[in-house]
Amino acid sequence: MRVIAQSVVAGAVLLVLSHGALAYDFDGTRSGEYLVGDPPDVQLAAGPNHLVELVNSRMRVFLKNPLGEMASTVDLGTLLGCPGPFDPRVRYDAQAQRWYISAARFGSQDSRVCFAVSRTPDPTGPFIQYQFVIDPTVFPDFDTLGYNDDKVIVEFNRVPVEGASPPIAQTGVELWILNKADLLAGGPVRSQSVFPGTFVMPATTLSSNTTLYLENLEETRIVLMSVTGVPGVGGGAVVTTLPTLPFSANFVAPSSPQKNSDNLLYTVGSIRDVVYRNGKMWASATSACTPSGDTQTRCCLRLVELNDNGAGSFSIAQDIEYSQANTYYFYPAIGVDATDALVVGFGASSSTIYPSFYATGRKATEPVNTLHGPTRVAAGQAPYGVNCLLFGMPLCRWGDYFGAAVDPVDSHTIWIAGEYAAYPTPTWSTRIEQVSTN
Amino acid sequence: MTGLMRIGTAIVVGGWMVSAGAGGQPGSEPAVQVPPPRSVNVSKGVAPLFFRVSPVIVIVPSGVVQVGTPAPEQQTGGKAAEPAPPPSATDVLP
Repeated sequence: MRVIAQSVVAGAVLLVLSHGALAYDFDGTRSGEYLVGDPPDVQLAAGPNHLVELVNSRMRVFLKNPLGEMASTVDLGTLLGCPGPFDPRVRYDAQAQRWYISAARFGSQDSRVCFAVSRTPDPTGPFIQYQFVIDPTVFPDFDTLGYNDDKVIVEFNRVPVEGASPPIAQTGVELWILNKADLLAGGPVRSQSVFPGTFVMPATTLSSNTTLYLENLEETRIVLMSVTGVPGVGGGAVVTTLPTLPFSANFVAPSSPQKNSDNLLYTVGSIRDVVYRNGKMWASATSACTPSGDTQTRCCLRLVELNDNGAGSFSIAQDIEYSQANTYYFYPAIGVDATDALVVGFGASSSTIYPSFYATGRKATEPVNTLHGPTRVAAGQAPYGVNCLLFGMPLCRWGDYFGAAVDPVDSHTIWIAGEYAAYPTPTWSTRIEQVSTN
Repeated sequence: MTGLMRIGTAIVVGGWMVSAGAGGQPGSEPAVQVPPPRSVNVSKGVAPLFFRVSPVIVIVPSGVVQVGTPAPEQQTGGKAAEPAPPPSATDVLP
């Protein structure tokens, strides 16, 4: 499949982004606010009446009407029953009408991945807490969440700690498959632990499906797995490694410069999101490429759509490398609406741009392998300067990901949340934006 | 994966730092936030990955929390959590 370095549909209007008089966007959380950490690792999910934003390590609940009014705020450690959580994730499961939240926690003898499920569609109501206890010698990192009709998957990286006693048996990746009916009942949950042998990210499944897919974009192949069955029912969950797809990418993404600063943003390359809907599966990643009209390697967005051909067979439908000369794009968060329109929220920075929040997207009816030109959602106001001595170098932690969510009521609305550098330096702020695909 | 960067045998993990700042009330900030370490070292000689699926494991809820509304920013959140069983309470079924 062809890869387009700079793919733009000229003149068409996909994104109805409002600025100024119409308040369809608002700031979520800002660095320095009450017990908020740096960097944020912002996440977003949308329910019937609420938006939930997570950062390290706080949850804020905003109303959709009036838009942006804060309905509740809670320490994520309290919500999860898990002190010092990090790498928060949130999803709203429209079919189940529940919110799922996860985060990791590391302690010398208390490493866990913490999970909570709401009892109702109201995120200001009660949540049931569950804990996945991990070998005390393992640092759990970069937890991810996926779900489908009958399962929820929580996955995390197992980072071994040197000198641990006893030594851990396995490093790499671990995932837990949870019986969704048990979760919704709020009692004991039948589950199965899986070491998949390689990193794969569980899909957010937005159309009815009893198979939950997992995917990773690697430099020479696309790795796919499926999970069928349910823990504790019949033969339980079955994890199947599917045929890989040939692929070519560079995920050694460079750090990103920012305007008026010698500090670089530590922008990590690799997969960010996987969304399955209507027989299609989109994955997004930060990659490295040389944009058209450029001579240097920059951070770029890689967006790959697969066709589900049935019986575990997938094929590449679209493969887009989205970039701009002299500019660094990173952390694409994706949402897919009922018509298979794609919306991407992502970060941008360069020697002439403060760290900013942008969006792009495409309608399903538009030419394949094309995206609209970038739309700026929130302009950076200053260089960022917190946590800027990583590895003894002038590298700033800028977080690992942004958030996107399809509205469960208006399927032509996708909400995105991203981070931008805010004045006065060196703070960050998040912006939540309503994107219409009509 | 993400948040990790290998330098020699060291892995730096995507940690974060707490900034109890402008939104909080002086003296009211609970000292319960413990940032994870900024770095850990990779253990040498760790067994390679292999594919494995466990039998069914039953995980019991560790607690219930009521987020509540409205909640002023100064609160750390949830009202009273119900008494919780140990978080590691799991039973492996045959």
